[in-house]
Amino acid sequence: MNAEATNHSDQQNSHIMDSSENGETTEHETTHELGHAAESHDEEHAEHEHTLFAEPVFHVGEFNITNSLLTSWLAVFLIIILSFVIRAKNSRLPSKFQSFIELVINGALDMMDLVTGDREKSKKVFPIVFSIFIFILINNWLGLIPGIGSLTYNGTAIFRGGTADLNTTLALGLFSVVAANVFGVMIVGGWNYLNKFVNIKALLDIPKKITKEPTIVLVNPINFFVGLIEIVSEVAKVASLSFRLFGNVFAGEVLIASITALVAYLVPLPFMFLEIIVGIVQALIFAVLTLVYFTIASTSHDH
Amino acid sequence: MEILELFGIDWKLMLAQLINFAIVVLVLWKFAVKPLTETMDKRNKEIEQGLFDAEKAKEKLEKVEEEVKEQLQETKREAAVILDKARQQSEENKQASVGKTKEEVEALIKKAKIQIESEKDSMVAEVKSEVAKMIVTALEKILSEGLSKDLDKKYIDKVLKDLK
Repeated sequence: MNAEATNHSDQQNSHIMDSSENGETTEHETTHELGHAAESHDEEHAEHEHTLFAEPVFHVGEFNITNSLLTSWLAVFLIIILSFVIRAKNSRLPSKFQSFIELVINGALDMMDLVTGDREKSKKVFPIVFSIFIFILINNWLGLIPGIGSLTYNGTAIFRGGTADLNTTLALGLFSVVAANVFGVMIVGGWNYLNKFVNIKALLDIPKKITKEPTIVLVNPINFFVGLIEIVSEVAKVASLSFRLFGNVFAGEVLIASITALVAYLVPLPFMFLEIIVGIVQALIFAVLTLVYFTIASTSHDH
Repeated sequence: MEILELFGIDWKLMLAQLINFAIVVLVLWKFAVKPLTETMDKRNKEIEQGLFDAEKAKEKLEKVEEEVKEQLQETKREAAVILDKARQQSEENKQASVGKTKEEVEALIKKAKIQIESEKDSMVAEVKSEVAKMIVTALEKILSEGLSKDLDKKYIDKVLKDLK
């Protein structure tokens, strides 16, 4: 199965090479053809293949509805139901269910305090960070449900872990970093925040303080370039967030599929537990890193 | 951008996922976290207030208990004083009444004694006069009839008999 997967991705690569050589084909057509290739591949083999990308299940006009998107919708639906249950059960004297939810929320807030060091700040970013955690967690776990990959429509699986698609993780990663920057501007102020990246202040300081500390001529240009590097690091944050999550979840699904293909009974069980833990850990990592970015962005650069 | 195609990156899909996430944030915040945290905050406040009230009530209770204790002690003291007074009074009353009774009894006894004395005197006087009378009558009889031996004896016996 593994060998087949790599074989398959090789095929894709060669295909992409072809298309890029042509240079004429549009992006949409390429993905469409790729999806087609996967479909025909599936028809040859009874086992479902794991592709690096989410396969489109059906189209609405130009828009490809992929299996990962469907799973994400399911996740959203589940979260909405959960939210309404929580609201319906909300009372002054908590039930067991409510106590559990309160425990989770309080635990999350306490954990966030360790990073932000400030309860007010924790409360401000809590909705975003907590939503990221829940959304990713549900998506991770939905992809793990045994047999969810066997539901097929026209030869493609209907459901695939929402986070096993780079589109999802990249969107979340972009959101996380952009929101952190917006939060930073809101807390620190536009001018101060701009100076984190394009350190005009440092340059302006040179003529002011040059008589007192001559070393500033050397130090502040360095600070200016450090600021420019920060811009690169913001992009790196997006990449690291999205590829980490995608890589872990996708690898987990491939791992379970491979083990299941080797020995169908009992042996995949420990791997399932492992992947359940990985699902929590990855969701936690994504949420905590987002929190860290928010915290870094909201602390002023000046010491 | 080969890598984007390799991973099937599609801005429409990304937008769709962003919208998904936005819905999650909105719903989770609006319907779950916010009302729940509000409830929790409210409850925390209520618990705090409750504890504060309980503390206050306890203090008040202690104060009241102290007061009651004090009052009780004072009442006891007063009662003891009253009791003492009453006892003293009754003692005095008793003594007074006993003295009076004694006096009365003494007066009565004195009166009785005087009466007895006077009765005795009058009795003695009466007896004396009676005896004298009898002796006179006896003497008269003896003297008028003459004296014989038997007669004598007879008379004497008779007199004595009469006397009796």
